[in-house]
Amino acid sequence: MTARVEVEHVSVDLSGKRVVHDVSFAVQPGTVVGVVGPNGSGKSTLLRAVIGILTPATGSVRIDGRDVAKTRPRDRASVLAAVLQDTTGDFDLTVDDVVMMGRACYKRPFEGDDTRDRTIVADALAAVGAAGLADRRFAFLSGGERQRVLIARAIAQQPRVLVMDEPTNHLDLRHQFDVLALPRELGITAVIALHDLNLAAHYCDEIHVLHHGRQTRSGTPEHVLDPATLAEVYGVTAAVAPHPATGRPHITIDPTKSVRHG
Amino acid sequence: MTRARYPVVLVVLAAFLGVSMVAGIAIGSVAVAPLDVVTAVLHRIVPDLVASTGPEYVDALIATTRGPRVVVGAVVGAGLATVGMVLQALVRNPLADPYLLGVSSGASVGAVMAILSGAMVFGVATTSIAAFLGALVALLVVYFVARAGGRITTIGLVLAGVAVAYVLSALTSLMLLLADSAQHARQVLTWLLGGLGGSTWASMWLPLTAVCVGLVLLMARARALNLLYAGEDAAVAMGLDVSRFRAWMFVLTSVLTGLLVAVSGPIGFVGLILPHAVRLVVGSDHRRALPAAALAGASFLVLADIVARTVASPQEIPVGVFTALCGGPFFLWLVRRQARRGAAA
Repeated sequence: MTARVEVEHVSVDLSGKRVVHDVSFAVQPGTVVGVVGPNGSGKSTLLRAVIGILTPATGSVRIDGRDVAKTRPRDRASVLAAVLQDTTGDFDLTVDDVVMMGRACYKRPFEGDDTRDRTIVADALAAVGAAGLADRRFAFLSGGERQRVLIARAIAQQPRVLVMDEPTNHLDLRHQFDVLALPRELGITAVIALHDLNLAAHYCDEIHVLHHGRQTRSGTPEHVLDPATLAEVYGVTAAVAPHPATGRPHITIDPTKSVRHG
Repeated sequence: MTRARYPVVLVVLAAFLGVSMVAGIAIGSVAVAPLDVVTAVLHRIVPDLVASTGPEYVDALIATTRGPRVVVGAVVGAGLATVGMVLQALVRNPLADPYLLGVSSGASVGAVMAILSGAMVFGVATTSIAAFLGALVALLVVYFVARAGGRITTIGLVLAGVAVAYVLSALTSLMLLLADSAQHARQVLTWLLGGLGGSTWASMWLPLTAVCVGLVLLMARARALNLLYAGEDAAVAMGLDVSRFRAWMFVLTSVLTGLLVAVSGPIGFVGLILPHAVRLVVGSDHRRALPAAALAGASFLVLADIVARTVASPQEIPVGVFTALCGGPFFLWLVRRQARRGAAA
């Protein structure tokens, strides 16, 4: 099960200020799209509009033709799941409790968890290599473990589209690769905001670069990640060469020439 | 905490509530044997099956003073613990309590206004309605003052709660000072300390119904309450219409607080201590924690009331004073613990 996402002329305002300007792209079913850009470029805000947390000031986000802003939250959550920065409060929840939250959108009032829910939760934890954490207390996990549990929660939602905001934060190298390979393994469409351009180059079918809230470049990693774009958007001097193993673009930043002057 | 043990916990809590209530009737200036209490109560319920074993005054005691007092205590305790638990999820902070957040003070202002003005627009329910409106206004003010940039910090929450509570109790004092009738003023003053002394069967029905209906409504949305733990954006992403749900919870908790405060005066810290203790035993999932909190809260207040009316006998101290004596240090301990955790993170 996978779905097509269309972002059409989306602008987003935060407290009356326009933060994202007229962004458009389409995500083909089963592909992985990266949104990159420096801090404050509007990545998170754009993602929040895609998820339906923020309503676009102009334009629309459609999943298989349905406008996200006009879909009931429950219905939307059964199609689209999100992994955001962790904001879980100071309560003693077990990992199982946290992942089970993902099943909420399928439940009527008073309806309990059945065996199927428990299987889905266990499978989701296994998919992120966290099966052994089920009974642990979420508050006491390491940052990386928490992040994987939140991804498991999103998987337990059984979405057709997965939106992730910096999912590799706190993860060690091995888990970064595992997490980014996950959408393709599960065969779901993914929209991912990423800091690490080399990870983006390797895992994304298409990349959209945001700079000051505007979409400055869009296309395949080979097309987008060139020295000129990196200099313009990030202010760094970089060399881009095919990765020896994958052939994907690999970026090497030259720190000596990347010092900001003035 | 495994799933199998949860029913056991509930049964133990229910049995404990039963014992507490029997003790609540048995203990007092005139002591009654617990067995006599049980037979007298059963005799009232099923007169044909059980004969009363004790002296006649036991029946009178149950019918007029200690009976309603114990039942109202249980209802108020259950309600406060439930409201505390829901408020903690709403503000996503385990330090919330209707008393600490000024919600009880809001209810008091409403109730005092209704009593002193003597305006019985809606009949006897006027006090309760006024208390509900006061609670709702206080809760909304605290919530939106404490919320800066979509987040509620502990400091913001506690400060806003304290400030609102201060302003509202000043308002209450002012109304008392300016009251025409000294009789009314004394009555209000006693009530404000938080006590169960004036409990009657007639005053029991409204809060009892509200707490039962409220619990059912909350259990229906227990999953949604769980989603609030995850944070606002995450809850939206998991399919919860957060602003609508929050508005509904504000109204529900205010109604409950208003009705409870109208019958017992503001009683603090029950809504802080019990939810916390219950979570330690059955976990934070509201589907399990809410019923347990209600049962534990009921027992707690019944027991606290026994202490309050016997410890300085024949003088009776208001139960609110006693719960504050227990709850204050507990609150400080929670604050310390949270600060340590925050420093560690």
